[in-house]
Amino acid sequence: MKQAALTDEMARRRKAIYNGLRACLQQDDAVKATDIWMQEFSTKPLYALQPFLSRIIEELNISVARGNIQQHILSSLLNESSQQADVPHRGNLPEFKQEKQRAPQQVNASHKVFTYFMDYFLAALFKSDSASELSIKVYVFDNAHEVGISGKNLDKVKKWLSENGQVSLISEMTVQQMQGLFHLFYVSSCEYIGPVNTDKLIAESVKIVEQLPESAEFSVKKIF
Amino acid sequence: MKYYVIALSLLPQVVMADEAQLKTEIDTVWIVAAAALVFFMQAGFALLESGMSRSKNAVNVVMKNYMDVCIGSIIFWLVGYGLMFGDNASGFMGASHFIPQSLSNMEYSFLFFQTMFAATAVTIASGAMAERTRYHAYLLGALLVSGIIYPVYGSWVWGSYYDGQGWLAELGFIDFAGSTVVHSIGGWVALAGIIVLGPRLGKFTNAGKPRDIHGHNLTLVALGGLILWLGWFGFNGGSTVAADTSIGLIVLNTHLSAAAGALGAIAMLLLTRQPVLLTHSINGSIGGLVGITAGCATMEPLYAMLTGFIAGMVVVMGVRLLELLKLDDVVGAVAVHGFAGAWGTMAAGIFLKDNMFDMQQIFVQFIGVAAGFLWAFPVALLMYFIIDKTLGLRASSLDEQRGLDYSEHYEIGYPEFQTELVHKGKE
Repeated sequence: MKQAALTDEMARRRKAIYNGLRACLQQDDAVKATDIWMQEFSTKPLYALQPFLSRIIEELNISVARGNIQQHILSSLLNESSQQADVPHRGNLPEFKQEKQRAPQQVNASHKVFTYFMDYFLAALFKSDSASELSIKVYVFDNAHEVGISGKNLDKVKKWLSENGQVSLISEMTVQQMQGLFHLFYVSSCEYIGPVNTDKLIAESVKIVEQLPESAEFSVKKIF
Repeated sequence: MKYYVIALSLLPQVVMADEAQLKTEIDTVWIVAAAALVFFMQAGFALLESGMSRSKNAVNVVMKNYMDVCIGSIIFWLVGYGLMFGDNASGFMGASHFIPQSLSNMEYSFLFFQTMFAATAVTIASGAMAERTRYHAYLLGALLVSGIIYPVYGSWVWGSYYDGQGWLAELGFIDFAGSTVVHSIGGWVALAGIIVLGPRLGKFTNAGKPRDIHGHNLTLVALGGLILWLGWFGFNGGSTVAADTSIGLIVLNTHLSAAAGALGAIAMLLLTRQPVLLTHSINGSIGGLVGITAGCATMEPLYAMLTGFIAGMVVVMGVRLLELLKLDDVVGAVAVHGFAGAWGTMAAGIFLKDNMFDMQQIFVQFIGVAAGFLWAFPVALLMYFIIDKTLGLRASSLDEQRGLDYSEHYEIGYPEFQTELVHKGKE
């Protein structure tokens, strides 16, 4: 049951990645880039796109601006899957399943759910107000100690914030610390995009994250 | 024959005694019925304020309204009634009839009616301060408003039920049913509350521009507005404190002013090129009701309508003014009750029947309005400031994020629908 849900979710992501790439690349390049994502980046946090973009730009010799590709992919990830075109050469999907099955289970469900949720939420937040991304991150880092995040965890938060989620977020965080960290983002998000839009983004992110199998073990609402 | 003549001669006295008794009984029935209508206004406030708040704070808003009645009624009976209507030798506050017992039947009716007024004055601030006020701190404020702020000012205007007279009443200040005594006082308390509290998270952008934070149920807002409208017939009509033929004019004026208030609000929205919102329209009609409360017994219907129309405009401009000042009034209570109440009190002097535009009367009205502000606002400001520094008036931002229903009451208003955003820290 869980495996079926995981496969569906990954198939949705694959389709979204392809459609995002296809909006600014030729079909051949988009298919090749999607294959690369499947084989090497599908197990990484969804919105940690920078390493993936670096790789395809270098390997496929793509001349389109990186920011442009990223924007299209993010937009595609947040769009309804039913409105998107299918990926050609679906034969690659079983490869992904094997890859996922081999993925090490290093972090428990709560951290996975939290990481997924933050990835979705922050991608949507920074997409809606990219100008304030730095200010929000600075605010969160400056106030992280107030929600009980200090020492090693604080360093990890700093690294996570500065590297756009490319590094794994703290595996030693307690639920209270997760709540605190999310709350800091909530407060700054209210300030920059308003409480109504913030609640909307949270609702959208929750809807997506609740489809993940880990959500059955740990409710994303516990981090609010 | 002799006995027959004696009996006939006594008959008029018997009839007169019966008539007086009947008049008292009818008065009592009317006062109690009017008080019940005023009590029903609490339902209107609860629906209107919760509808204008986000769903995560619906329970909190209703709880505050509910407890306002409970606390306001008991405190008013304990001390408020004595301060407001007790022997008023100084003209500045009553000093008898605390914890009133063994009153006459008519006094009990009057006390019951006035208790409902006190509860109304208290509950005005709850909507303005919604969505970020700690529940217990708010209740402490409500206690002091019903026990001190409202009755002391009330004694200045209406404090002549027993001995003595309030100093504003002696000046000839007209406030028939309480545009200032009840509504402006409540509005100024609300103003002090929102200043101490500060705005909700994200209400204003960094540039100071207000953001719309829409309420969760506009149907409730409309129902609440209509219930208030209905209750106001008792509020103004009952202020005769007698079953009197003047009630017809009073309730007609009340009704026309409310209708004109909504039109005035819409006209101002159109003039200022703002969208014609339901919330503003309803607030406009309530502004009309607040505005006519002072002069409903002493104004011709045409001027009642004009008073209401301008009150509706005042409400729209008042809301805009508060936003410019970066003050976050969730339901527009300061504009509706404070500003429209002040205007209505002035209008009671300006459009006074048989003595219109009398500058002396208008000046007295101004003194009454100013005295209300200078009493209620600084005292409430100090009160909320002290509460904030001691108990803490403002809910934490985490509680604000989770919603006060959960964080203050541990229950939510719409469990079937609030599935996305409800915190699930405990199971």
